[in-house]
Amino acid sequence: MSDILFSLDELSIDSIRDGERRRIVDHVSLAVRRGELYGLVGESGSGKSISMMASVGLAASGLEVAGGTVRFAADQRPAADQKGLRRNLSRGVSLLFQNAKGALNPFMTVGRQVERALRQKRRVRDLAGEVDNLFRVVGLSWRDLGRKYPHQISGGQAQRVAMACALATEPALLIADEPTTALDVTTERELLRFLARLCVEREMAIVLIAHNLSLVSEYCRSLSIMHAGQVVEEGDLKAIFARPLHPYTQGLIRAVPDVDSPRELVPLVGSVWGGPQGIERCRFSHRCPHRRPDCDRGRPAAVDRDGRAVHCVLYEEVPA
Amino acid sequence: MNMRAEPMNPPATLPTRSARRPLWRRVYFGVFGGDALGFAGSILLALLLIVAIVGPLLVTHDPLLTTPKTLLAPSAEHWLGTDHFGRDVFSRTITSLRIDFIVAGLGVSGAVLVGSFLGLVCGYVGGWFDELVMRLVDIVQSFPLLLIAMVLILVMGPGVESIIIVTVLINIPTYARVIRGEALSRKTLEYIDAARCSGASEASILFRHLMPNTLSPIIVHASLNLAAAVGNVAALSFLGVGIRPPTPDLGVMVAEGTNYLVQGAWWMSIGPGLVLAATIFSLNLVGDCLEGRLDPRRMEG
Amino acid sequence: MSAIPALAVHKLTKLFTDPSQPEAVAVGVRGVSFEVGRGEVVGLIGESGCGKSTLGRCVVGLQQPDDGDVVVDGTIFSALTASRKRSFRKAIQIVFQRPETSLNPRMSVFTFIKQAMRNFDTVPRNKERARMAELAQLVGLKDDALDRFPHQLSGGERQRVAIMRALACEPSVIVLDEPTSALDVSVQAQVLRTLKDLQSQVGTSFLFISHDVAVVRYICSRVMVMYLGVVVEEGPSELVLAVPAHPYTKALLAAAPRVKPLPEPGLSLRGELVLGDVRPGECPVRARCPLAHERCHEAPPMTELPGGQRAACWLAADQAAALSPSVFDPSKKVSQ
Repeated sequence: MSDILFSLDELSIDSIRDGERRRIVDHVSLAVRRGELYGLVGESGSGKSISMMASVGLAASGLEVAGGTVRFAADQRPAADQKGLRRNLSRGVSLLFQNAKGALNPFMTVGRQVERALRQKRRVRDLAGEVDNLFRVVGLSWRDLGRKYPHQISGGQAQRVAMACALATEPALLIADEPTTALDVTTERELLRFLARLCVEREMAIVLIAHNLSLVSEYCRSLSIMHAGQVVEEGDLKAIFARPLHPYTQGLIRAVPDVDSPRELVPLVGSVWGGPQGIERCRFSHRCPHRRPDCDRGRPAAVDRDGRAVHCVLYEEVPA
Repeated sequence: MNMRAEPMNPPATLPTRSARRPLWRRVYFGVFGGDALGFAGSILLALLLIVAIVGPLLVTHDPLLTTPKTLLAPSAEHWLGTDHFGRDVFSRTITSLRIDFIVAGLGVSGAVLVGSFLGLVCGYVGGWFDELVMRLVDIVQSFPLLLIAMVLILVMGPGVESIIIVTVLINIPTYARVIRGEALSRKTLEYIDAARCSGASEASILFRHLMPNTLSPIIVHASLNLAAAVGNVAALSFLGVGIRPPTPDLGVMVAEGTNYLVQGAWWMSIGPGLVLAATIFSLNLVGDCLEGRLDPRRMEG
Repeated sequence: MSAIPALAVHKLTKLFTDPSQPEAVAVGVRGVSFEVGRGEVVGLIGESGCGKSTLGRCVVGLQQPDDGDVVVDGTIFSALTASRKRSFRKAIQIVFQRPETSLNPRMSVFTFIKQAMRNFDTVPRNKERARMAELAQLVGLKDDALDRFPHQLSGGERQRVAIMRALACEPSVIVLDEPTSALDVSVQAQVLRTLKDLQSQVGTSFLFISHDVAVVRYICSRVMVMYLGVVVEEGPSELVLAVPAHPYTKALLAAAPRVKPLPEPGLSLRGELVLGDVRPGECPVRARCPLAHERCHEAPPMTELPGGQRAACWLAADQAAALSPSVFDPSKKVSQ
């Protein structure tokens, strides 16, 4: 078993607004192995992006890390040490964002931006050659695009340039926050396939943050599903999809239209933030068809089942 | 294509614990967003406004009455002393605060009304009308403020009415530009199209649907504008082309007082000067606070 | 269809040239024709740049086409004068993609929708509240939402209000331009379900524009696939989305995200849409199509296939000719 490269342990984050404190990430844990393509799935408000941004010291202002530890390679520190965590960004962690054109500098040619990214890592002997190579790695041609500005290239190309910049520092971990959401389906597919290949070729771990399950199904081996700041189900993707155990996972699958059949949709009821506030509970209970009093008595513990862990009281009583 | 709105926090409809919190805390955070400076500025401004409104009741002596008791230092009788004509400085300060507020207030209000209307129509309609009006605005804005003011006053003759008209004219460009920009950025939004599809006439779209949404920057601009306007009125009076004596004006008082500073009669300038500074300062603070509160919080479509 | 179709579009053209690439082929809509029958739900699938949004806007009269007609309930909508258009607008409405900007932030839901009711005189004034309550129920909103302002509503609720506004006009056709694309997965399901239910209840025709093939499959009985301003395939959803005849449709289906991935990767288009690579007069997909050959330099006509399916592809034409020579009709040309 390959070792764990990156892990979150009981990460909790509060948002402070108008003097009020709300817990938006609730004791989240996950572990990513070297060279693994890990999916982190949740809808907006699930805390998936916030958790990962906080894990590299980029928690937005107005957010306060309330607890937990982050481990990256040999470095382990409390998640509250945002400044210390930010150093990981120059030590082997790279980021990819949703809006690639927005993440690139509009006043610099794309070639120059990749150049700068390369220079950050170490002394480079053949800069031009390395830049050209990186472009080729991401499927672009420096000769065609190198001198263009971000607004002159397409969204898919911009995302590839962003990838080149991210890869320039030869990261061990790439955090990709919904990198294909703004792209066409056909372009999305190309990029995701490319990411999956990179993962294998460079033994680079990738955390792929996505807003729906179908996106990760083809590419990830392990996955965590989040709802309202809590992890509800996590582990081997095939096991989860073969038999989804958590009511939220089941609900998600039933609520998404199927391209191959016109079957009826069964929407999830309620909204992400409903239910009793301010107590430790399963935050899906107010939407759950199997709700019972136990659900509001505390955070459900993780129960191991067939290669994945599910956080639900339904599975706590029955012996594994 | 698939741009998801990412609400970080739960929607506003949920019950919060604020119902049980003390009032001052609710106001401090709810209205001012914890902005201590804005809060302080608002209180200061409120005080000044109350003084200005209640003005005539607070004066201890007739502000225009000259007496032989010239250049007296502050005392129990004359809180801010007397000036070179024996007039009570305190009473004059309060009266002039009122006058300055009124003049600046009317001037800015007029500019808001005319400028916003022009800007709205220009932004929405575009074309030659837009070009024409904006070029006129450019011309007005390219001259130094005080120069235009002085020229106009020389033409119209000095006095309170002239200053008000001058203030209106000088400030029209600001509002015309701002509202035009707001109109331009909003006229392509979907709810305007929705209003069109709902059968609204073009006039209705302009005044019922578009206009109310362009107004929020006005409050911010107006409060900052007021600060500048008060300053301008004082400056013009200081230069002798504004409010004419014997009507008291903070600028005039500061001007007259400088002549006597050497003699040691500091109270003639300092009193009015501080009040002037406090007024402009508090208006600026309030304006900044409003700017921070209004723009990012509300989703002005 | 015996009755007059709710919506008929004849050779609609609206083109925009990119000023930075004046020689490149123009984007927009080129000579598109189709019909939507009473109570029918027709889907329009395509990716960015295919012209579907432009088509939607032309259909509801928010944009004036360069050429062609939009006929609603038998009246040539696109030829009406501005004043007549205003009153005729009632018959064709639209729901937009972005919930954040679809509603007037300064108006309560009630006031916003009241405009439509008053302008089109759909109910007497004293019945307005009651009618709104009915509509709210139809779209799945609670009564108290009526007096709320947009910032007090969630994305899903705002879209429902947008749908309510369209319904309040009592139209024959509602154009829905990616109505659920900006919503979360679970909210999307709720709104889609609501749309499907209310469509069968009220019987309004829908023109459902989306890039999401799964969503179109769920709600539409007939579907058109667009690429670079042209319809490349159309027909019953069951056929087009299960046994696509056009390579672009095949690629779209292969690329669609699935919970259970397909065993084979399927067809995929090369690269991305590059306007400069498309020559006028050729098949618009040629530059990216893995099955392209010499004939593709000339735009293929629409071929009739069994079951009402039609595809603009030479290979589909071969297929049809092989089945039955009479089916292939060279007179139906897709104009460029």
